[in-house]
Amino acid sequence: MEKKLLVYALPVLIVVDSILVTYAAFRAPYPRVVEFEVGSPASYVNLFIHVPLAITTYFLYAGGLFTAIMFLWKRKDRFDYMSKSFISIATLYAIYTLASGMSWAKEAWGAAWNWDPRQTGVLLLFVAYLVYFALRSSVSDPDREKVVASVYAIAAFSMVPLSYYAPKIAGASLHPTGVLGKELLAAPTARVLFVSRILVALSIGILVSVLPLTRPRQKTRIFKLGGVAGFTILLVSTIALLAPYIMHNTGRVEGGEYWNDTLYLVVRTGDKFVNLTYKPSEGEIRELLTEKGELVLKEHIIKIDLKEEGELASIEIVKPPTVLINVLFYGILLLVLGFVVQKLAISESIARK
Amino acid sequence: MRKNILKIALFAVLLTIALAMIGYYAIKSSGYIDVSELVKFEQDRRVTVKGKLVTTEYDQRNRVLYLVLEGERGGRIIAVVSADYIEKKYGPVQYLKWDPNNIVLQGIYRASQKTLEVTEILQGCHTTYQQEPVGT
Repeated sequence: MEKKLLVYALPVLIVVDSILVTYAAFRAPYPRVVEFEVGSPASYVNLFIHVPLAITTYFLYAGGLFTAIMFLWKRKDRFDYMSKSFISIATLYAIYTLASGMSWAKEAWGAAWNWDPRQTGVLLLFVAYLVYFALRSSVSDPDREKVVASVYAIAAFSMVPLSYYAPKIAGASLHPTGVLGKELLAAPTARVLFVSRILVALSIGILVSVLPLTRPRQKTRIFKLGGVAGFTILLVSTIALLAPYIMHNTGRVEGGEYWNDTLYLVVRTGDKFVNLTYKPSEGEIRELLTEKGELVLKEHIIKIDLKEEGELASIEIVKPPTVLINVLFYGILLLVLGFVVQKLAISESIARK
Repeated sequence: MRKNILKIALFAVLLTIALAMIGYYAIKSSGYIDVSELVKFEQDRRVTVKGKLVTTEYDQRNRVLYLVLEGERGGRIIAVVSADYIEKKYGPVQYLKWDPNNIVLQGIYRASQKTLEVTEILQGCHTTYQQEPVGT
């Protein structure tokens, strides 16, 4: 009965997580103004998409460490299997963390790769664990392979705290400080969303890692179906996020000011700059300017719908490409996880018959 | 058996230390771009940049401090720092002292103007203004 619950839990959690990511992409809060970056403040919805997966990666590698130690202590094969499983799944999550981080960096810092200390740390972490797989396949004696792999898994885990504390070690980092994160997570709904994402993503990672070992007798097709469902939900979300770019002209607000009841904006579309105006209502102007009179729209991407020549009909902020990319990437990860766990469950059932 | 376990544990510890040292060194030396690399960028970027201080100039009217930084292999940029930031962190602008060979700044690089809008001075700046400790 418990095994059956675990089997059905995985596809349900995948669907739940894809709904949470969709909600985050469309409704998560972001800062009104981000002074120290070049991109759209709306890219900060990635706090609810990229960061929980990065945290999950660390926890899964910790699972690999713990089970490696247990194997060396107890010398039971199932601990070695679990260690390899945790590390394999964590490495898939690490690939997502790197890719989604680079997409966010492109928007926020102007370049996908900057040799930022944390970026460097996570890359080193990823490479260190790639060596784990190379090491396993290079040792021909299966018993020796397990011991060598477990020892290496313990050593490679040293990269996890190093990558986490990388900004402190290097003394400077482009990664935002915790202050901005705390401000965004001040609202209860934001906190619930962030924590839910971590818990659900971590549960998926753990279930994918250990489910095959339980030799589920149920049709393992359900895992693949879960992955497909999650991917489909996120593909639809990506298309919805892409729609404004396809159906309208869009541009990035480079600057502007409010004067004489009119907003004067300089908007970049491709390589061109256009001057646009907009007459906001009194309620709207409070949304568009900070208390200091700064333009909230700066660096945001907006739809360009013209009432007449040079005058906008409305102001509508569009999520930057990094959000679409990270949502789609996560859909692909869920699809891969569904296929992987199904394949492992089948092969584990066959091996132990 | 016990000897075997000790051997494995020792190897695990040594390998951990070795990997940690490699990782630590790699991370420690990452993060900064030299000015000579920065001047090649063609698009605006958020950066942490290291350079040698050539000269400074304070625009008292606009309350802005200009720093000219030079890279290891040549190339110069102008870094612009607001007086508000300096006064909050270091005190009056006139009391600033620089370590010219060790300047590290963080900010947004505007490629079209070869200008860095400084958001943080990370290294190379301190104040000469120090109160004498109160004697007892």
